[in-house]
Amino acid sequence: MFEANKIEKGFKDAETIIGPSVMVKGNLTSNGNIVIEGILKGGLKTTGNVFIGDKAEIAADIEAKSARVGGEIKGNIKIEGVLEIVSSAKIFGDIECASISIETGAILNGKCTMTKDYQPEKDSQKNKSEVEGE
Amino acid sequence: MYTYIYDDFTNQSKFSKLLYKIEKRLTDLGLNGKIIRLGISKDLNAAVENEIKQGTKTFVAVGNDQTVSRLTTALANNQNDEKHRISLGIIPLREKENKIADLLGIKDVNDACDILLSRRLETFNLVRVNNDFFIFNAYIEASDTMLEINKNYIIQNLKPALVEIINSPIKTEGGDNSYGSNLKLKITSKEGESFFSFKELIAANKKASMIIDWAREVKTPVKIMPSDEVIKFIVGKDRKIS
Repeated sequence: MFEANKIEKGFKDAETIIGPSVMVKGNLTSNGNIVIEGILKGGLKTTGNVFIGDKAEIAADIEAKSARVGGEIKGNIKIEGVLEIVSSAKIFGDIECASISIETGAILNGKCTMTKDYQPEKDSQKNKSEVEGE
Repeated sequence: MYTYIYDDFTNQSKFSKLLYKIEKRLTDLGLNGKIIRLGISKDLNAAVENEIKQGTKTFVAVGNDQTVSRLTTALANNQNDEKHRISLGIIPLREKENKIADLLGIKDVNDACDILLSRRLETFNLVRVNNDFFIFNAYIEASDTMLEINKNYIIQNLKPALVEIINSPIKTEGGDNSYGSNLKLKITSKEGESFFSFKELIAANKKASMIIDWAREVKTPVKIMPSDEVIKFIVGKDRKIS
C-alpha cells in the first residue's frame, strides 16, 4: 500500500497513480497530478505536480509543474517551480527548475540549472534548505 | 407495451411459483405484457429487433446481471431508431447475481414490480468493448495483463492484480459524464492501487477473459472506449449511484 502520510496534500487528488507492482512504458502526458510508486520507462509530461515514491524506478525525462523525488531517476528533469529531492532519491540526469531543496543523503549526478521566472507559493518549502534562482 | 425477457435459468421448476406470483402481481398493476423465454436456440438480437418493430416501449429483464447485460448489448447494437424511446426494467431473481439491480435500487421481486409501476427513468452512457457494451464495470483478474492506453503507453501489472475499467454512467442534463470524457482504469494488487484515465484502451491477457458488468465473459484482446449509445433504465428511488 501507499505510505499515505508521505503523499502530500497536492497529490491526494492525483489523476494518475502508478502503483508499486505496475510498470508503464511509453509517453505519459497529463494535465493532472501524478504519483509514481512503480516503474516508468519512456517520458512523463504534465502541467500538474509529480510525486515520485522512495521505491519508484524511472528511466524517463520528466516535465512537470513541481515534483517531489524519492526514488531513482535516470533521465532529465525539467520543473517549472519547486523540485524537492529527499534523502532516498538517486538522480542520474540534468535538472532544470526554479526552486530546489535537497535532503542530506540524496544522490544527484548531473547538471543543475536554475530558471529565473518562478514565484514561489507562500506555503511551500517551509523548513527546507532552499536554493532560489537568481 | 411491455416485453418481458425471461432468462434461460428461469425454466427451472424452482422458479415456477415465483414467476407465477410475479406475473399475477404485474397483471394486478396493469403491467402485463409479452413474455419471451431465452434458450440456446433463441436469438436475443432478432427477438429485440422484432419486438421493437411490434411497438414495444419497455423491455424488462427477468433474471440476473447476465440477462440485463445481454439485453443492454442487444438494444445498443440494434439499428432501429425507435430504440431511443425504449426503457429497460429489471426483475432480479437471484439475489447474489444482481449487482446491477442493486446499484439501480431494485432490491427484490416485489420492489421491482413497484419500481416498474413508478417508472422513474435514468439515462446511462454505455462503454463499448469490441462489439459488446457494459454499463458499470469490466474487469480481468490475473497477472500479466497488457494494457495500452490512448496508443501512447503500455501498462503491465507485474504481480497478480484486479484490472477494472469503471464507468460513471449517468448522463446528466445538459452534459454527460462518460461520453466524450475519460474512463477510469483501476489496478488493485496486494502491493497497492494504480489509477489511470483514458479515452481508448486495449487490454489483453493470454490466460484470462474480461468480465463485463460482473456477468459476461469477453475474450481478449479487447478495445474499450466511450460510446454514444445510451440506455434508459427504470430505477428505484434508493439507487446507489448519482
